[in-house]
Amino acid sequence: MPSKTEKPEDWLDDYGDMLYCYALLRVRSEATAEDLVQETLLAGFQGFEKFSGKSSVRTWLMGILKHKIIDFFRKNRHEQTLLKESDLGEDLLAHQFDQRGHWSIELLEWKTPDQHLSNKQFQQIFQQCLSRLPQRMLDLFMLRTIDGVSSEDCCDILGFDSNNQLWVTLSRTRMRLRQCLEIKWFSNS
Amino acid sequence: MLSCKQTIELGSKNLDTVLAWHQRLEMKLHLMVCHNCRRYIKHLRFLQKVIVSIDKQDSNIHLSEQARERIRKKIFSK
Ligand SMILES: [Zn+2]
Repeated sequence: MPSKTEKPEDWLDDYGDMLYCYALLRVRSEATAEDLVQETLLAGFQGFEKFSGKSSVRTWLMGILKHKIIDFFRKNRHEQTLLKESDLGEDLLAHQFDQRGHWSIELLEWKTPDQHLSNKQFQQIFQQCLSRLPQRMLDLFMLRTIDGVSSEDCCDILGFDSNNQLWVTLSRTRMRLRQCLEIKWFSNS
Repeated sequence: MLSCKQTIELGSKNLDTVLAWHQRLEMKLHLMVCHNCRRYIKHLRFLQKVIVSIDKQDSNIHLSEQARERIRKKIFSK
């Protein structure tokens, strides 16, 4: 039996903010994030009898929330706006490469980048760069890179036609983020 | 020989899946002679680190009191 030292009635106070933050970063709507927290806690209450206690309640609730988020994307995939050519950064490609596909710009050397990770200003700049991405690009990037959702599931959830389309989109997402950081941070620091 | 554009696309794909051996080889050969692409690949690795660290940050985002009350009502009324 699980240790029931944690009382479900405390979960909202103990884990509410954590769940909310996690959801908000992904769905980017306060109302939706709130709904997801509520659904997660309810599912937690209902499933608590079956909770094995092998992981912490925290980890277990996070697992439930991740499923809820994936369900949310799947249900809403038809409402997502498709990416346009311009979203994929064709203009950025043309700016960076010549006709033979070789660099036409010189990339900066990012000196000791790790020291910026804990810098609040840097984090803000990065958030800005993220917020400039089209929604679907950001969704994909978060699901695949942080949450480790498989390529097949990403295609299914977000409605991409093929793995190839997915990889190209991820590549262009990184290109846009890289460019944004280089201009807004590394060329000034 | 791969172009730079092809190389960085493979470099990104390499973060998402396992490349075929000939793709890895072609990429390596290109990177040996192209410092711009080497830089780009380094930048991509750093981006991965940033995104993971952003996710782990203690953030200032909290449920508002009103939202907390709404949730409380809904989950305890069932
Ligand atoms: Zn190159």
